[in-house]
Amino acid sequence: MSQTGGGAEGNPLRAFLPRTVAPEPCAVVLFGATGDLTHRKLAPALMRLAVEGQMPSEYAVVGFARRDWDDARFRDELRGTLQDAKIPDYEQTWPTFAEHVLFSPGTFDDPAAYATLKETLERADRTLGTRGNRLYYLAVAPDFFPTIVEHLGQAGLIYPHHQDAPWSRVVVEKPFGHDLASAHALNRELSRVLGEAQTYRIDHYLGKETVQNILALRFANAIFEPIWNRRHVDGVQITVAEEVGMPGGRGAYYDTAGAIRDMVQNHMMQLLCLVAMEPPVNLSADAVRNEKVKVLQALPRWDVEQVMKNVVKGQYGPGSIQGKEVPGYRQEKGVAADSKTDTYVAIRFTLETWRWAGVPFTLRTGKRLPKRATEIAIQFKKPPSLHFQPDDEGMGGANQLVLRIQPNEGASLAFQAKVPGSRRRLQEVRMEFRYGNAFASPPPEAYERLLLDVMLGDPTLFTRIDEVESAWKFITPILEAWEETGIEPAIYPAGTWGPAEADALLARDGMHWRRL
Amino acid sequence: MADATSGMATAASDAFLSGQGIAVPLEAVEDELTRLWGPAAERADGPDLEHPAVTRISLANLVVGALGEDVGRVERALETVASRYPCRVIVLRGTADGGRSVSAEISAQCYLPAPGQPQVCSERIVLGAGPGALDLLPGAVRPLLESDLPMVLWWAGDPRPHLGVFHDLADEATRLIADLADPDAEPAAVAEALDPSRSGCGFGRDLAWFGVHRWRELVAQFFDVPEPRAALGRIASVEVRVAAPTASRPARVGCWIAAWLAGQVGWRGVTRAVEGGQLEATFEGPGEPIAVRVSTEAEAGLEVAQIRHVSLALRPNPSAPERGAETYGLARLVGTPEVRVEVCSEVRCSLARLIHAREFDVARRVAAALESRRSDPPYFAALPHLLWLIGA
Repeated sequence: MSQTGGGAEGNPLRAFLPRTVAPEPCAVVLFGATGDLTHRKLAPALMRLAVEGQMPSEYAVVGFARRDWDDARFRDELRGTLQDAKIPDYEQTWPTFAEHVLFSPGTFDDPAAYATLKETLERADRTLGTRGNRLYYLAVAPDFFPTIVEHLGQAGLIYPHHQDAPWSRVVVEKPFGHDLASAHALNRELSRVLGEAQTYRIDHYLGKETVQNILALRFANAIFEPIWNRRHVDGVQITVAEEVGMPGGRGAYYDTAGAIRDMVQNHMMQLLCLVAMEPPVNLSADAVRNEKVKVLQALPRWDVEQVMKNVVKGQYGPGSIQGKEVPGYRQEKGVAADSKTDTYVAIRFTLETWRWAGVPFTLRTGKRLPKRATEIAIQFKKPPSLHFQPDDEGMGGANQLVLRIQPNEGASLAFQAKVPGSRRRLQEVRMEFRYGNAFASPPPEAYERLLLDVMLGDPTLFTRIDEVESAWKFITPILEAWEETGIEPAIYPAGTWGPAEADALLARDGMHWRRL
Repeated sequence: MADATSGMATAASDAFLSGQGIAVPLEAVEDELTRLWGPAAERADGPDLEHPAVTRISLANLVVGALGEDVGRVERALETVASRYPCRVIVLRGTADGGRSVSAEISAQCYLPAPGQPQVCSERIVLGAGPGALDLLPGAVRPLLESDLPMVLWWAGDPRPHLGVFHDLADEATRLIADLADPDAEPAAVAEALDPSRSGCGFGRDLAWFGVHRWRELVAQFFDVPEPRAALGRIASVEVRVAAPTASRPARVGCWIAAWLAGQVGWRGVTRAVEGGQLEATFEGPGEPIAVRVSTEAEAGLEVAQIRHVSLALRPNPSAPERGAETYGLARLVGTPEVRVEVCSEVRCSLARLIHAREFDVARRVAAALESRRSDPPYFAALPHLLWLIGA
């Protein structure tokens, strides 16, 4: 739902056209235009939107970076990137797209650079019809957010939000702060220039079709809601497993963050919210986000002892994956030899809500696990009395609904069936849905959807500041406990599913981690 | 161009479905499988004899450790195993390659359940590693395990030369099938493979155990009615004769019969003596001692040790000594699936009868192991007795 209220929504000519809402003309400014995120995700996403005809009728893509380039040089750079991205119909669309690509050189802390940027944007308004609408994407380290936003404000490049007036929006990447205090501080800095409605805190997981499908599954199908609660659910496991270690020398950054900041505070909290939230009154941005915040507010606030009991901190050591030896975390480039940074976290908690009281939620994420996989597994309670010989393959024997976020996107429901010929012996079988088999066209990439939503002014898939702060209220005591105790991470060999301590976490509830 | 491309894809899919191994980079195994299954599933001709449609089934992940073993025996068995229990098979094979890398080869195993039915297919992945790269195998296996399916480890041969790999995989398995040579496997190897204190091996089974299932059923039948059941306490001797590839040691399959009886009836081992393939042991039971003899004879051409004869002798009933001793005998008619059953006593002397009881080869034993319940109290009751009998 567009916040501008005008534009394509009021256009009677749009009636019954496939795309009823089109973004208004705008300029997309990419801070960090030569960086990894721009090349891997943002530029390909913008190109795909252009190929699919979903970019505004008039637009500009402006790169901002500390390079002595001009428009042509930046276009060449992008062309190389986009050729590698293997986008269908790219060759036919590139010439038109290239006409919309501009470059503005400068450094983040130089007022003159913003004056140059202003001139470039005004040129785009005149020649490309972008009408003063601005989308500033900060694909840079979070430390630069306040500086950039302050200079944008001083240069008059961010203006107050008014109906029917040019808009300016800023997109920031996670992490938003590195603990509660820093998140507060960062928000205070940004709030001096930006209103909440202009701030789009991106969590690209929310842009994934499979994540959005969680709401569809829960609230568009009547059969699930009656059993989606503590009376029927035995436990919920959320896993984000990564096979990679520290690609591209990412060790130096990661060593300041760790898995809990990199994954748990943002992506996993969002997955938790979508699984555990109450039905919203409607699908407006605030209605959905209001319910998500309630989940985060129901998270426990732990003391040191509770953290030690419910959280496992791990770090990968040397091992082998896919038949290749890989070094341990402490041997990675940019990582301290005595680093205590967590590359693996497992957390067990309960949500004290009417819906979920007593149900164990377990989250785990880690680097250098055997394979890349993200899933949510809802394990239902076993029947009260079993008249059949129960499954004894060590797989639990309970019904499980598994939502696979990536790869093999889809869902499956595991249930017990009688083995043919046997008297009463059961075997677990699965009903499966796979995106690849069910829908003719592949789902859009997450960044495509999110960039489009920013241009449309729809913040539903972006995190609100109270979501961010509530998540930090849960995470920060864990960080503080680790700091206070100086706890060493439990080392697990790369290529295994994590430290044994994580198994003990689930064993308390008579459960075990799913093998992905 | 499109026809040529789709033709090549179909040709590759044909090769894949015919069981022909296709070498692929290890990291591309899943993508290649997806690519090859696609054309297979799209065959438009439907379920007729010449061009049957294909159904892909996978009931479990079956990881086969065949690092130092006769791979041919394992490969032959896999054909039959897959037809009874379709699963994703990952075979670990030792190669002579130098260096530190793992090779991969993929193929499908298909069979036609009945004319007109779709072929049932499952996939086989063969991972090869040279002596210097064997430790990389567990890390290569894990990403290939299908999620939501149990992982069964079928370890062929003595695990001790590759203990790290064995333990890494056994610890993650939901069940373990230990396929050690019978009778040539050293007792220490058997003890290592079947150690119930390890998490995966806690649900481990000696494959030889599945060679005695039918014999256990036949012996148990003797005591199905109440009167002879009370006679279990009067067993005086047990004799088992086994034919095996060699007679180097008493065959485990024969020892399992004695161990099973000991576990179920409550005997305690007292003395044992072994000479070559001959085992003489004494157990202490609820009554008087029980003599156990396991005789193993070498027979050329056998792939597995096979029981040829089981006999139990019971002491006279003290409350009816005039009835005399009883014997219960089972004898395989060699070369046939028939077993002759003889029961002889003063009271119940029956004419010999034949029962159809097919011998289980390696493939059938593995299939039985896969289909059996994970919980098996008689096995665990018998295991300590077996280890004692073989001298582990």
